[in-house]
Amino acid sequence: MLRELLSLFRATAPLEELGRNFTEMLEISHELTVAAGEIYFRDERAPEERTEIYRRDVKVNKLERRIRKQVIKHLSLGGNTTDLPYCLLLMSLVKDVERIGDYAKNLTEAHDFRIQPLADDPIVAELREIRSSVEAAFSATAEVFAKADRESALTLIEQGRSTGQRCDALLVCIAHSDYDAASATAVALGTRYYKRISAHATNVLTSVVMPLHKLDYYDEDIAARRAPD
Amino acid sequence: MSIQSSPAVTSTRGDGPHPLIRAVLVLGLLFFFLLGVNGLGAGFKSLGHGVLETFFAATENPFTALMVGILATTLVQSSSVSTALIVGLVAAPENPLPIANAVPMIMGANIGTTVTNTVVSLGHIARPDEFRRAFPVATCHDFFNFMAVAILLPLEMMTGFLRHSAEFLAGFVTDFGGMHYQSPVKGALKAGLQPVQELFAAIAPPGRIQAVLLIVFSISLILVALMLLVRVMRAATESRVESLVSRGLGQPAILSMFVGVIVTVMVQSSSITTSLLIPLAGAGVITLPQAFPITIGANIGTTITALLAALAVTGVNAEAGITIALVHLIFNVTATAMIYPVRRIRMLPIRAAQWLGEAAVESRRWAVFYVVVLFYLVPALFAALDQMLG
Repeated sequence: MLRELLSLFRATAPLEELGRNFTEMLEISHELTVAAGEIYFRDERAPEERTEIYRRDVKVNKLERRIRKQVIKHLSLGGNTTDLPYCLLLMSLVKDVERIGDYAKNLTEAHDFRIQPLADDPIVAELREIRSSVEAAFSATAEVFAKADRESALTLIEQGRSTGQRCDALLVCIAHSDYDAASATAVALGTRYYKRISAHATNVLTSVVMPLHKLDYYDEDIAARRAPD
Repeated sequence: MSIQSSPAVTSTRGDGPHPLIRAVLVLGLLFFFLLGVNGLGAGFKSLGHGVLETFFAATENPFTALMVGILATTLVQSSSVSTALIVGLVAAPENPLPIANAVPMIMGANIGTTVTNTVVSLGHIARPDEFRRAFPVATCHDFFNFMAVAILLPLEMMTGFLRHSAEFLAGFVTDFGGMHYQSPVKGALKAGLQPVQELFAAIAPPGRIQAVLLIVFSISLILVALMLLVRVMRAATESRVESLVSRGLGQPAILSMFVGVIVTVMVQSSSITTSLLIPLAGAGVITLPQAFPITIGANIGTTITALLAALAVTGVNAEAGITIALVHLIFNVTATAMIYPVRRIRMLPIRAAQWLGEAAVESRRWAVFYVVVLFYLVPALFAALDQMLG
């Protein structure tokens, strides 16, 4: 009881706590994406690793709820409107990060559609490259967001847009390939999930360069200004 | 990597006046508050006999006194102001308000103060889901206080136990170790009040007009000083209050109550403490059973203002001023000890609040009807009836 009593008086910085929780959420989601990619591209099934991914995704979901709760408490109790944009930003971003965790789970489920190993062909090679690109961009996302590094964010957003286009093009290739139904489903779903993971990570990055009301909408003007003549 | 170091996460919290300036401001406002209470006593002394007799006679009826307490507090929306005024009236050096009359008024002030968070919860009325959660958190405070009065007022009328216990405790304070009680700020208050009295002496003829001017000035001083004090304390303790309430919500009931007491003492207003809980309840972040102990703690914490006001009272009735301030404290502690520990009893105000919440969601008119009738119409009717029946 005494410990609880003393803990009541320990000073806290609510925004720092929110930031720590969001960082943790991003880090876990990134690790889940990497682990899910390992499972997806592997030939044999990995039930234990999949269970671990499900278990860790629960943690991501809990963090999402905790951050939302902290935001409500901070805005209600603190009465400080200066923190309003950052709090609303987090309310939106936690949804994106939570979705990434879900797509990581879906990626491991897509493995089950396969009845034979992934082909060693240009389609799968492109999907592997997309994976590397998504994981690399996602890995940098947390740091770019933390430092509010506008230039790096713009570069990564461009990269994310390009990844989306590559995924769309790959889906067309899959549609015209001679894959059997099971393989086509597995590879198409894998492509789709990487596209979504990339899009949600990009949403986190748009918060660095866009005002709150334009969150998730990358300004075409910025893209045009950055494009080389 | 840490997001907390991000420029995006920079908060302005901590900006504002230097803590030393804030401390001086708080002490200054506290002094003006005490000056108001002291001036009130001096004003009533100058008023002389024959003016307040009607009021004193009316409040001899405990129910009328209770209604006066409710109505006065709902009108100023602050039990701190009304209890400070009661302390000033009871401690007036001449022609004071009898303690027996003041006890039900203190109980009324306790009920009246709950109107603020109930009105705050009406802000959620347009969104039924939020309102269903927020309204009971506000009204559980009302029901707790109604219940406390329903039990303790008859008991007090029969035995006078609140008054006697407070007198016993006040005796300790005023005659500790054979030393007769002196207000610790007596000299400063006398020096502060003198120019005000001289000013009124210069602009008004001696007698009742001067006394009325001093009373009006003192009441205004109490109102303004308390309002500013609450504002300064709220700003100064903002982050501490946030972390205390935030942590207190998940704790055992006794600790949550303690948080309610501490936060209310810090911000000098139970209405602020209880109103903080309303949006949290509306958003579904806290439940009624979680909010209830903090609310009860706020009820106890708010008695600090009357105790502070008692610091200002001087003269022959100083002990009476301390006694009525202690009545406020003993009343709230006793009510908590009687209602909270036994689950079945504790659930009564909670269930009543939930029931009213459901009824108010079905028809929102009930919510407005409840506030208007209970806090304004019934006390006004009682006061009018008492006036009519002489």
